[in-house]
Amino acid sequence: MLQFKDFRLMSDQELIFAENIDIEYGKSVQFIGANASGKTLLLKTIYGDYNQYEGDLLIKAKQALFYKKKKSSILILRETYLFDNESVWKNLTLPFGILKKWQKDKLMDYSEIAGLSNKIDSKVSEISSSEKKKIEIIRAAVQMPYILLIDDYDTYFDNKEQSRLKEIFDHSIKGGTVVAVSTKNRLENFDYSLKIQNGILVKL
Amino acid sequence: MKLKILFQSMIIVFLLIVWLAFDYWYNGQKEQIYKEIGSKTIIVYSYKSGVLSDLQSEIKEKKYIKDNLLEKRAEVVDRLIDKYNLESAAKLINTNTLPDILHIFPDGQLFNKQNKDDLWILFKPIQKFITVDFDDEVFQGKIDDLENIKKIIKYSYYGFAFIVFFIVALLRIFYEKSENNYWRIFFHAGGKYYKRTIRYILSTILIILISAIILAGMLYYVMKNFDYNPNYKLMEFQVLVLISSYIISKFFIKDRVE
Repeated sequence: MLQFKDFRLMSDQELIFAENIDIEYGKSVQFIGANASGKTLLLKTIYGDYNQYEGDLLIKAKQALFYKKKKSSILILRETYLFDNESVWKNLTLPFGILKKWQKDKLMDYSEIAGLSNKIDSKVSEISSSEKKKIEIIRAAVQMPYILLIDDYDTYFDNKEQSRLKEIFDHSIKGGTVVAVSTKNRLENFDYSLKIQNGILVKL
Repeated sequence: MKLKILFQSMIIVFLLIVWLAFDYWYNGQKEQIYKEIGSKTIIVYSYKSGVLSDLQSEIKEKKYIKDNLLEKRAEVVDRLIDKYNLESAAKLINTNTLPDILHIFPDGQLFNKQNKDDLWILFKPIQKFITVDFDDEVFQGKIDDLENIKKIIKYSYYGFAFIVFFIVALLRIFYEKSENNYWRIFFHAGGKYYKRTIRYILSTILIILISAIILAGMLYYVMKNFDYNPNYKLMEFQVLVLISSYIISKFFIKDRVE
C-alpha cells in the first residue's frame, strides 16, 4: 500500500533516506523523530504536497503525487482547520455534502467514543484544542481515505485519549486505510514504528 | 441563500436594465427617423402622358417603395376643383394643361442613400419629361442622423458587453476569493476538489436564475403598463455575455487553496 524504495527526501540537503519499506493495507504506522527531523515534511510528501524527493514513494503502486488530484489521503496538521463560529456537528459533517445514514451513525458513535457527544452543538471556539483535533480525526476516519496522516499526534493526546482514538482508527483500518502519525516519542498500539535516526528511516 | 449571491444578482439586474433602457431609447430614436424618412413622399410630375405609368410599373418591383399613387391629369383637375370649390373656374382649369402626378411613398426602414440613388437611376431616361419634388437636404440629414444612431447602438453593444462582462467577472472573482477560507478548511477536512467546481456552477445558475426572474418580473410590469416591446435579441446577447463572463472568471479562480 505505502512503499518507500530508495527514497530520499530533499530539502536544502538530503533530509530522510528510506531504503525499502512497505506498509500493507490496513496497518498503522508511527514516524518517530525529534524536532526538525523532517517528520512533518515526510507526511506532506506522502500527502502529495511536497515533491522534492528522489526514488519512489508509492501508494497503491503509483507515485504519491498521482493521488494529489484525487485527494485520496487526508493530512491533519498542527494547524487546526475548523470553523470556530460553527457547531462541532457542522464541522464534523463538513466534507460529506449529503450525509448518508451510516456516515451519520459513525460520526455519532465516534463522537461518543471521543467524548464529544455532549458538545455536539457547542461552538468550536468553546472547546479545547485536543477536542478540536478529535473533530478533524473523526471526520477524516469516517471518510476512510487511503492514508490518514496526523502530525504531532502525541502533542494533543495523552495515553488514555490515544487508546480512545485507536478505536476510531480501527474502523478506517478495517476498511484498508493506513493510519500514519508523526510523534516525538514511541507510542503503543501501532503496527509499524519507524524512527528517523540520523536522517535514515529505520524500523524499530 | 447567501446575501452575496443576491447582491450579485441585483447588480446584474441593474446593469442589464440600464443596457436595455439605453437600447430602447436609441432604437426608439431610430424608429422615429424611419418614420420621418417614410413620410418624405417623392412627387413626380409629368406633362407627357404614359411616362409615369411606365415608371409606376417599374417602381412596383422595388422593395424600398412601400406604396405609390398615380394621379392622372383629369383626376388632379377633379381633386383640385373638389378641394377648393373651383366649379366656376373648372372650364379654365380644364383648358390649361395640368401634369400627371406620381406619389411615391418610400419604406422608411429600407429607403437609404443607395436605394435613393437606385430610384433616381429610373428617373434618368425620362428626366426631360418629369419634375421630381423631393427635399434631398432633409433626407440626407435624416440619413446622417440614422447612421449616427446606428453607430451609437452598435458601439453601445460593445461598450455595455465589456462593462457587464468586466463587472460580473470581478464581482465573481472577489466573491470566490472571499470564499477561499471556507474551501481551505473544506479541503483540509478531506472534501473533494471537484465540489468547488460543482458549487461554482450551481451558484452561477442561481445568480443567473435570480437575475432572470427579477428582470422578467420588471419587464412584465413595464410591458403591461407601458407601450414596450423587449429586444429579445439583445436579451439573448446579454445572457451570452453573462455566461461567457462566468466561464472566463473560472480560469482566474484557483480551486485548490491550501
